[in-house]
Amino acid sequence: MERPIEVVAWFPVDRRYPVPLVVVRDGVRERVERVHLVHERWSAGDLLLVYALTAGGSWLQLRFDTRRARWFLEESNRLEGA
Amino acid sequence: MIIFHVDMDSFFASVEQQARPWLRGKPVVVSGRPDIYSVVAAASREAKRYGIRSGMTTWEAKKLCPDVIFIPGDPAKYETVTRRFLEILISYTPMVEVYSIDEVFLDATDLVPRYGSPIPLAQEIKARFRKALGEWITCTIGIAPNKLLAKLATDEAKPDGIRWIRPGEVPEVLRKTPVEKVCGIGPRIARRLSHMGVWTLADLGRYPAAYLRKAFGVYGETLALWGRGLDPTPLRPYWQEEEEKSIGHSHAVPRALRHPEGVRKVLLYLCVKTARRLRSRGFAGRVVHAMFRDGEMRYRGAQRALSTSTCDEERIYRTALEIVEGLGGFPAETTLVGVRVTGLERIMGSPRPLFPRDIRRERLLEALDRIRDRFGEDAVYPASILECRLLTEATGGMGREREIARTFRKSSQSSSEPAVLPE
Repeated sequence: MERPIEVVAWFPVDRRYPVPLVVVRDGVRERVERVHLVHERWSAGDLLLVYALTAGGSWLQLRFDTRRARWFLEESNRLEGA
Repeated sequence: MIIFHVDMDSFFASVEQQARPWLRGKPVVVSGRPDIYSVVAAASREAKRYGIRSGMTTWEAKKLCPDVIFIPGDPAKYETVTRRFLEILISYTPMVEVYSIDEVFLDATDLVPRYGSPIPLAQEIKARFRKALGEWITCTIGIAPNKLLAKLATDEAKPDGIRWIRPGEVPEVLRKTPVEKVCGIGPRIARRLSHMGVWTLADLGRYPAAYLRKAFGVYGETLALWGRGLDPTPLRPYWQEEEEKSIGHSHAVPRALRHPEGVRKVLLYLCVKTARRLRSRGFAGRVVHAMFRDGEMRYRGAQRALSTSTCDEERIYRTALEIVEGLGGFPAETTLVGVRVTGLERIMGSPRPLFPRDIRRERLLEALDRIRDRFGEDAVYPASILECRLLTEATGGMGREREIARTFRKSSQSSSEPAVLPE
């Protein structure tokens, strides 16, 4: 599963990575509750940032293409008890 | 001297549990691809309670804990986390040695007076790790007068602890520590030592150094020093260039490729990687070594000197195959294969090829390197190694500490950004 996704993000000057704030899935805005891990992945010369985060009771793995400034949803998992 | 040994607890597994919260508190094993037989690269604390250890086959792990969850390794993830904790440590001192992807030595001799004692400094490092990496990625810090004792201190304090071996405690630690606990004393050496009546480090220290030298050669001198709680190896900071003596790769052969034809593909894959690394570092080599391990775990290998140095995968592969043929060819089942190039010379300044065929070949390799530099290592490779790349992709690149230290040297010079995760 991989599809483009709309993300509202903040790009603070004093942080290494942009901070996703809101994820829009199926027209529903979900607030990012927690970012668990961010890691870097290289695809050719492009730096991709991979976010493991929780939003709207689901765990999501998002990828931010730093060259094209586009977000993709790579994986999602509904968390128990959410 | 005050040396810190910082060791990340169940590193790969903790990183996966940090990224995927539902794995927390469950037995997790990071291994190769789940659809093939593989080995355990890291086990979570919960999995370790069942007796699962790194290096075990996934089949053995499943037998010990039927509920264990296998996660394919993601080297990029672990490398990012390693870079983040290295940045934190380097912000304290440049005297940081990258010992492995999850272990670091730090010379804190000049730092400790500012903190009054090593313990507050260790606590601060742990707190900064927690903030920057996440609550599930923990480390243990061993503190001692040298690297040997610092590593022993870490073993005592694992997981998530701090242990300081003060100089006055060293004799007691030596008395308590069995020789096989020391990194560098394997089971065979430990068995030989036990036949000599040496069981602990203190026994080793009492044993006459001349006898150790006679029994173990130069290594006996190191053993004698270890027995007195001394470590002859200095801390090698990350910014110190290491002299390249050889470049090579070896790989445990996936089950599906253990037949001679399959192993040849793995060998070609390793030759392509080796040649690429040689060229990217500006080296060519004169001696090719090839080795393999058969199904009975017996190693065989040999080397061959070339008339001129090379960094061409085709020539390395051809030479390695000739070496293997000279040893009687690959057996029916080969479990490990490796290739290494030594006798390294700088390409710059070496004679250019004379003949048109060689010139074309050199241009082709340059073009391939440019493509890989721009589009990544996966952009172009021989079609015959496709199957082998797919089978090895999940486990490859786990032991990239030297690469990290090398690239980190460059990146840390150009970046001063704080390593803080978005909260």
